[in-house]
Amino acid sequence: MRKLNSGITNPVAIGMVIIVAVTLSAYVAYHSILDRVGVNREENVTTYDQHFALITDDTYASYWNEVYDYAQEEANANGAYVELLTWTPESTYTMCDLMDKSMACGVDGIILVANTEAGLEEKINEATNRGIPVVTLMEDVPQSQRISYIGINPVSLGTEYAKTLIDLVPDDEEEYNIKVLLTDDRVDANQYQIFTQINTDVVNHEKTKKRVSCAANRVATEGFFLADEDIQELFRNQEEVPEYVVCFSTATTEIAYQAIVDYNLVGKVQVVGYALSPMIEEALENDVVATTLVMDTQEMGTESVDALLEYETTGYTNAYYGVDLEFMTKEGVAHE
Amino acid sequence: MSRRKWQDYPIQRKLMFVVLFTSVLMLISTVIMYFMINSLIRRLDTVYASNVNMTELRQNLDVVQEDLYQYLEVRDYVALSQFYLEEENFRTLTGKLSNKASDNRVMLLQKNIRSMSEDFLNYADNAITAKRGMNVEGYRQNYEKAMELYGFINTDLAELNELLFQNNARSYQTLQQALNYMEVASAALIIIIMVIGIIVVASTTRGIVAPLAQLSEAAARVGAGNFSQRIPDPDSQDEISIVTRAFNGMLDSLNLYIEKVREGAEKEQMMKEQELLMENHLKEAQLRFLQAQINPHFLFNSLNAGVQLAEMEDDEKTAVFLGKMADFFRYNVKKGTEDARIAEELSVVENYIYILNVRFAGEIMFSKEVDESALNYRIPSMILQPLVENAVNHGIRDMIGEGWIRLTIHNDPDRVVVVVEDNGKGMTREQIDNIMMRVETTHEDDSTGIGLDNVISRLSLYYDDTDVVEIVSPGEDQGTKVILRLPKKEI
Repeated sequence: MRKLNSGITNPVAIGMVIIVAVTLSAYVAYHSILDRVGVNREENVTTYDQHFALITDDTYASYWNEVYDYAQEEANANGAYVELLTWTPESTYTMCDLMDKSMACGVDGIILVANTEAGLEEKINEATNRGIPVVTLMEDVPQSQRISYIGINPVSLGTEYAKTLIDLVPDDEEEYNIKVLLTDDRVDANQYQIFTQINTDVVNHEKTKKRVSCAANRVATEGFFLADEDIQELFRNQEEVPEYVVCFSTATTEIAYQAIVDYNLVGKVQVVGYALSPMIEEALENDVVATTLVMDTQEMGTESVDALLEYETTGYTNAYYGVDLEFMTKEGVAHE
Repeated sequence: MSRRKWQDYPIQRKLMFVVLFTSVLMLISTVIMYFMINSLIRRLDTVYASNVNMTELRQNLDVVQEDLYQYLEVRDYVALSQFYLEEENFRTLTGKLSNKASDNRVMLLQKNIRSMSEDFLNYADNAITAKRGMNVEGYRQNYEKAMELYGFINTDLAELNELLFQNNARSYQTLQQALNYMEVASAALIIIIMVIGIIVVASTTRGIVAPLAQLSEAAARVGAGNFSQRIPDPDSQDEISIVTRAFNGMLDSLNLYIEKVREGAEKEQMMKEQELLMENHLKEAQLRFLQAQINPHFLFNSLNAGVQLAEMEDDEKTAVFLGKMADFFRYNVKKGTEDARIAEELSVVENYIYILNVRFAGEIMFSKEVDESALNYRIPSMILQPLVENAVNHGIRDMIGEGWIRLTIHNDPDRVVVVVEDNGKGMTREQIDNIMMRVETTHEDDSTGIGLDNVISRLSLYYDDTDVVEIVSPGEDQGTKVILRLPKKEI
């Protein structure tokens, strides 16, 4: 009996302890179940003080996601968030609409990769008037009130292109044709300036003078499949097929590669491409693309955000930020 | 302190506690399960609430747009007032949306929708103002802007709704999974609580029943006659402890009583022994007293007579007579308190007869028939002479005719039989009974003082046997026979 009593010192107290323990265990079990299945799992949400928009033309290049990631990284590090608004030919909205939307969304800055769409200049000006700074990336709208341009000086780029082409052309007595495919053939557009510089340098260079001709071809990108049709047309007449093709966008480079393969012109036509995509890498391997222009996407993303942040902070920023570039060959890709 | 308290609880309270505890445990488990399941079900119910809110927002936006269009088209003032009303609602609804830039798409869309909605309403207000101010171009431009934003908002709302729907569908699945887990957890909880309840009820009731069992076992042992045990005194104050203490008290009382009874019995035994001893002493005293009753007058009278006779006549006969007398009284004095041999007793009888014959001139005819082998056994002194004296005094003294007395001693195998027989007056049955019952009789002054009753009493006490003496008389004048059957006692 004594032994029993010592076992149950005070059942009232023990009972209370048991009740509390059961309740606590049930509470813990309840919440652990909710945690386990994720009911209570809060999404890891970070809010930012500033909101930037990156508006880009998806047909222009394949590396925008990379650029966006770097821009986002830089923005996040500085208390800002970058929202990506991408235009594609199948989009309901135009680039101008995306500008309008960004303004209506009350963004604190816009990074615009302009295309040839009319009215963008006015939208840049409208945004600037509404106190929303706009920086242009890779494709400039020089007459607009954009606060900065991040990209490559078209003249320098044209010179680099010309050097590459002169190196590609064999040192013989044959005549060669270079076709530069422009998605934007406005006179003040970057691409046109690049073309002009290529033409000037090739025509004036000793190696290529008088035997290498350089011409521009407009490739339409506003509608569906237009670019493909235009490029196919270029190779359809076997008599007038150029020996060198220069492309200023990922899409045109890929279309040109496919057309050269389709028309069995591999070895006869060489492409100076734009950026690196899986297909372009394949083209490099197959010696269809002789070399391709690769830009520093990190620099592009970081500098565009930095320009906006600097403007937000100080009220001004450099009008131009240069971006490093490199012409990459098959060997270079393999080395990478 | 608390331990004592629990032990001191009455059984009723202990049982109440058990019932209350199990009830509370069940209640708590039910409440917990209710809470767990109900909270999940409530969550399930509200999973799609955000979709409902988005739909409401969208519907509200549509109404605002329709009212705006209606007013701008036909200047409908009802639509205008409706517009203002719905505009307010729309502001309230969009005011609940997040206004923070975030890496969460839902929050970012909310921020965009909220911001665009403000722009939309501003353009709508501007359009109405322009319409009122008859500014046709102004209200058209503002309306177009408003409609552009309306499109944007709708697109974002659709995306937001889609995202929310996906999130909510995931939440719903998650909650359903949680509900499944909860079912298992509830079952486990019920089992745990049941086990706890059983353990508590079993241990508590055992705490109550165990002392009872102990008590009943002890009672059974007591029933079997084991009074020496004792249940350890419990510390508690409950009813069973009281009963246990009472039981122990009862055992104590019982043991005390038994001890008293034993002591009483011992005392009684001792008293009995003392009583017997006293009785012995008394008997001894009686014996001595009876022996002391021998009348000394006879001695002195006879001696005086002898002395006088011898002095006056110097006679030989007298000398013999006095010699016999002297022997007789010497014996009487000497053997007053001692046993004697039968031979000595016989000699006393012979002396006595001689003395009587001297006194009464040879009137007494005395004969004896003695078995010599019986003469050496031991018997109380002064037995035979009183018998003969009795035969003389009450038998033949006053009889007509010649009286005789005959003494016979036989040596029977186990007893010595002594018969004193006379042919005197005899005795009635009543007389014999009176003598045998030792009714006090008076003694004549000239007798030796030891009557028949004395002899009978002494023999009875000496041998502790009443059948030692037998008196036989055929009737009046037919003589009396006193028969002694004496157990043999060697010297």
